[in-house]
Amino acid sequence: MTQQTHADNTPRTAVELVKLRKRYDDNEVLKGIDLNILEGQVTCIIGGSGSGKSTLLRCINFLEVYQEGEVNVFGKTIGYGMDEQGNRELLPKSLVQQELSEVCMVFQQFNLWPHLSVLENVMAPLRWVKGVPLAQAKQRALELLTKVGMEHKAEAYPLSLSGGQQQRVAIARSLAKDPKIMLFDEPTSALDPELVGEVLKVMQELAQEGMTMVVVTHEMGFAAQVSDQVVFLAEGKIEEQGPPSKLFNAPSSPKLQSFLETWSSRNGAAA
Amino acid sequence: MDFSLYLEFGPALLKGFTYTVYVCSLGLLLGLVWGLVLYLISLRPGALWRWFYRGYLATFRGTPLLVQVYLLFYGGPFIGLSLSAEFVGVLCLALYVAAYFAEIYRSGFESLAKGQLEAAQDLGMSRITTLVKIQLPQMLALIIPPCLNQTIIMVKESAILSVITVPEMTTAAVRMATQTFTVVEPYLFLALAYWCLNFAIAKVANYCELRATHYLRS
Amino acid sequence: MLDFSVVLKNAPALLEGAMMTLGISLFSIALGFIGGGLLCLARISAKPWLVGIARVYISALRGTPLLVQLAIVFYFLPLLGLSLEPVSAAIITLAMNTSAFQAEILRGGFQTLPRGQNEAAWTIGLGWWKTLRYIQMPQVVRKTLPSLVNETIDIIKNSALISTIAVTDLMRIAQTYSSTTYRPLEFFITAGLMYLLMTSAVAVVGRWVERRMSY
Repeated sequence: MTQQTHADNTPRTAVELVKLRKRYDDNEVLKGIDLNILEGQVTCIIGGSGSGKSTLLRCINFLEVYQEGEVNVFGKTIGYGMDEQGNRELLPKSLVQQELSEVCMVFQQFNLWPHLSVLENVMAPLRWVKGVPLAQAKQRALELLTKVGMEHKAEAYPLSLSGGQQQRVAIARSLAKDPKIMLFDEPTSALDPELVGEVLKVMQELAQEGMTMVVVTHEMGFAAQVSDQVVFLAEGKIEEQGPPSKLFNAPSSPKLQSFLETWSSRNGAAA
Repeated sequence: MDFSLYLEFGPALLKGFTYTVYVCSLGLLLGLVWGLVLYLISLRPGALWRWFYRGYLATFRGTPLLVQVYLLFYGGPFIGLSLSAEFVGVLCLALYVAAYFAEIYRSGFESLAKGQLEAAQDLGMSRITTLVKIQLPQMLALIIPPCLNQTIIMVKESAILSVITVPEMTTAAVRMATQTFTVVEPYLFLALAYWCLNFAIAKVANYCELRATHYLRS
Repeated sequence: MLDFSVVLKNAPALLEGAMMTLGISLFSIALGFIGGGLLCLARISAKPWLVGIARVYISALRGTPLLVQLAIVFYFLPLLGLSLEPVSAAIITLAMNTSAFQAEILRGGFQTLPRGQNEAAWTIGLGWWKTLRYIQMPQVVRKTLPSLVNETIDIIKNSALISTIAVTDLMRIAQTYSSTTYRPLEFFITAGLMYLLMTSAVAVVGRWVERRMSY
């Protein structure tokens, strides 16, 4: 009922990064990132290892505390507020979590809770965050599991599932939070090659439904087909960004060119 | 707090302290050896050996040391075993701690991957070379830390020997308490002395663990 | 040579002592679990002063003999005007002692939880308490159950020391009767067997619960 904005006139900004900087001690990982992510769009972030792409994503839901710049979600700065003197101060964790109520992340390692069944995992946000009554929560969780094709494993425990199945359950769990923005942190990197497809398919369906998605990925095929915008990160800076057709077919930056060359030589003709 | 009491009772407390160290060292040494014997027994085929090993472990790990000490000290004379308190003390510590050491040895030997021994054999290394160069170094890394932990437990348990008047430091401190009608001074000494002793052993354990397992860290 | 008829005649007293041992031990374990849980949370918290307090407490109680701790609680607290019944002193001391050990056991359990699980809880929107209650605690308890069972066995064994502050537990009863009947062998062997029975029972129950709880 809340997703009707993307068709009519201009979509609003979902996530805005302004001069975002992140350091670990002396090591600066993000060196001033400016990025606009529109509601209903799919943004893929690509780049080599150590380029800072995962850190960038993790800054959006404050799993990493950034030092300078801003992360704005629907116009609201995440993690920081102003004290009486107008200085920036870190907000308490519980408050930050409230600000992030419309953002949810899917992890490389799935991070399902092994002591809870598949159904209980998906019910967790419904029961323990939103306080939905049991019967209703169960029904909704089953709907979501059906959506990702995992309803037949509702009573199973996560560790008995394949990686691809676990990741689909993890996506269903994230959806149970009813987020407007979903962050995917290399969702298929921990999967055996033959299991990648089932996860990408679910993600593609989500994109078609108009979910705002930010995806850190090595799957260039997915990035090329599904995304509205591709961002290439190198050494903590945005090296190039634009529509996938432009980035993949006519890359202007030499770094992106060599990145794509390495990638296609490694993945051969299959790509 | 009356620190002058320490001047008067210092020598007695110190003597008790050295006696605790002495009893524990003897108990440790005997326990290490007897534990090895027990471990070797556990390897023997045959139900009798196996039952003996299991029964030993259950008895010495499943009952309080206090009961073991009382049984030997007060019950011993009735079957012709009139032993001195000191002897009973050392013996009980050794018998008791050996039950734990035997299991530590076992887990140490069992955790070595079989493939390593096969590789050594394949390369033409002799049994003895394999044992000295391959098995023992890794074993020690696995065994030393839990053995030292068990030693810490044993040092604390040795306070129990005061109930049969072994002249170790708890006995000395209790005597000080009853003679001077003080509580704080003797027990403060005791707590600190045991803590320091165990702290020292824990430091050694840490050091050994770091030395012995450096190859496990990247 | 051995004559257990004396023991049989006094079986009710011994059983009563065993009930005292078991009751005090289990009650102390339960109290110690609560205390140990709180201590563990302090030990892994982000506040340096809390961590410091927890470390000192844990180190002091793990580094000194229980016998000494018992004497301190039983003889020292009255000096502060806090006279305790032997039974209360025993329970307090055992609970304080085991809380330090249980705190370290639980901390070990927390350390084995992958960080990603907490990150998932964060992104889902679970707060600190709910993450602890629904995600961490169930797993930590399951993972540390074998160690907690061992700790329970240790406390049952160590509780024999409360006989030194005149609690009429199994040990104390055995001592009393062995000195009045001159039958120490029989009484201490019986006491040993009864301790063995209690510790074995805990071990068996522990393994059963472990099997039931595995996922």
